[in-house]
Amino acid sequence: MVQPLLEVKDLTTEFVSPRGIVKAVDNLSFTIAPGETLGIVGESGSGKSATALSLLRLIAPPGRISAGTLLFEGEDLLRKSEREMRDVRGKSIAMVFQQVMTALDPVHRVGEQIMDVLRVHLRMSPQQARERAIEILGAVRMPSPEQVMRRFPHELSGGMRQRAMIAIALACRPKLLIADEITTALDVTVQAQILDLLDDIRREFNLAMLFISHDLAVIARVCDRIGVMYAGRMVEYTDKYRLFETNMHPYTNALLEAVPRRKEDELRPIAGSVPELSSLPSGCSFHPRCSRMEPSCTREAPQLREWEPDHWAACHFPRQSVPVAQPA
Amino acid sequence: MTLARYIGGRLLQLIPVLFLVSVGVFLLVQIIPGDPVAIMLGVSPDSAGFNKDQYDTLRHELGFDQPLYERYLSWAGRIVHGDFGVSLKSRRPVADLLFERYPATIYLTIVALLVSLAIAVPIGVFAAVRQNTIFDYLGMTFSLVGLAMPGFWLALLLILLFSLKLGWFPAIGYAAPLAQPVDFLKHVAMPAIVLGTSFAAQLARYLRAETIEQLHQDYVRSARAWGLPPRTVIFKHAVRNSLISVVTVAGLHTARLLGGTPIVESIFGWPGVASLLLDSIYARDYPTVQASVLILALTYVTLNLVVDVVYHLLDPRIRLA
Repeated sequence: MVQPLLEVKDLTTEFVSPRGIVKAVDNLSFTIAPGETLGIVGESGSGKSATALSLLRLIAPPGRISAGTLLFEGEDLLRKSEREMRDVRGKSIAMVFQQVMTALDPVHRVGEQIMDVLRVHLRMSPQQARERAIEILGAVRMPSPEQVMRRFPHELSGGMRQRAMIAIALACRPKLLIADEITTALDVTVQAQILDLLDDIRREFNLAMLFISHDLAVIARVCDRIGVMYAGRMVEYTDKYRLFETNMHPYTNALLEAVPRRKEDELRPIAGSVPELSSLPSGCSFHPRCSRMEPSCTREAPQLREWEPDHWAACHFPRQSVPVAQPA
Repeated sequence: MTLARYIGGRLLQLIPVLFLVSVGVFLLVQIIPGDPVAIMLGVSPDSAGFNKDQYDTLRHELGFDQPLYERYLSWAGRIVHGDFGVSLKSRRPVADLLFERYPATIYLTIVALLVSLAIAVPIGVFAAVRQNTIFDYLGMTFSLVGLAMPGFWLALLLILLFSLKLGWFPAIGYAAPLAQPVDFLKHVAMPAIVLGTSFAAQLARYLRAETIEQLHQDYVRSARAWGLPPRTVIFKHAVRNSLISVVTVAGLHTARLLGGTPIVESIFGWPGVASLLLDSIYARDYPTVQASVLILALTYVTLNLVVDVVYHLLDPRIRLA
């Protein structure tokens, strides 16, 4: 087996709130191999973005990472000093955010923002940084890169801004790109362009990606493996084909049912809503919305278990080919 | 629209503003009680040594026997030509008085502004970055004290300590900054601190609040995610963006510094326009009062224009319109 690029073990990220400690990410584990794309899917509030921010240790107080290890190329990011962490951010692990309108600083020119990253991480001279910035803007297929360098963010369209963000992320040739809902704020056509771009870039840069989205169609298009998150936990984790064809967790199933496929199909929304993290239901967090709920589900939280080779699910009653013994 | 055209347009807009200010200033002086002619003569119309002929002659000489609008028009006409009249008190041309006094007020205001920036920027930014720590509380306590302390009281305390006890700074007086820079600094130090302190206190609070807000913005998070050093994240991104609104407040408050100067100028014997204004009000020296208010108003509106231009330079999203 290939040495994973990123190995996340038992990551727990909590926020201190007036109503007590809230676990936004609860005991999360996954791996990403070099060049591989892992998709994380889930509804709003399922802990996807908190996971992404945790990987770069960008969780701001009152939040904190309370447990786990984050092995990146064999080194635990949680043991690094803040100074060492800065060398990882933007250089080895880069991130692109959802907020295309606000993620770039409005008062600085796009070129300057790209050049700053190059100058800090690669110690480039202004001239070198300028040339490299124009080159990288070309690589993300930005129309007329030299002009864009002189533009302010508000002078660019949403799609162009997202390209600029991707350019900044790729500027130092990172090994891992975290993409947090990067197409959510874009028009469908622009969305398709950005996804095409990501495909090309992945190949060109041999880039591993953590691709976070609430949109299963987008996830299916981009990712090799998929993790499904619910209320801060991973509920199902496997490769893309298994997830779509032989998914085990009722939540995954419900998510797939909620995707419109043909016009005449009726949408089947998931009943109920995502629970407040501060008052999670007992046992399995999903049990109030689950069609397969049994009394035991309200008592004991199911652990993520490998039911079939490379197919993990956290459910007492997973849908699967082999019958399973009930938990004690 | 170019910057030059914008400034040109704004200067044109000053004309109606100044017209209204001049009407206000002119009328205000007319309706305050007190007869300037009698004051000049040193006798009131119902007292014993009153000479009716002398009174009427002077009244005519000064134009007080004319109707109001005619007096306004001739006054405004002369002002447009740079003739502010003759001071009733000192019998000197008001323009000369302004020419002598105006620079002193401007120097004092500028130094006070620098003092308050030097205090407010470190406190405000540091308190924001270290929000809810002992540094934050100390900084904000200082600013609360600075806000609550009346200027004249602080002025007296400073004089007591630094002039009378320690003898570091002269209690009163003035020296020209270019001719005698060291003397100027000694003289300006205390008035500038008095003027600058309450301003610094407000500015520090504002800068803190604004910077805290900026620190939560998406682009500050982006800058962190790009691995930029904290210095860059804080100053180039957070503080730089907070300046946009801080400059507005600073501009308005600088104008208020001008308003705060009469007391400070009087206490420290600073020969500025503001103390001139105060003296002229006591003396019912109408031409000087009018001219002083007018020039302070002109300074105020010019400052506003400067703020708007700086605002644009700081924020490329704001279009000049």
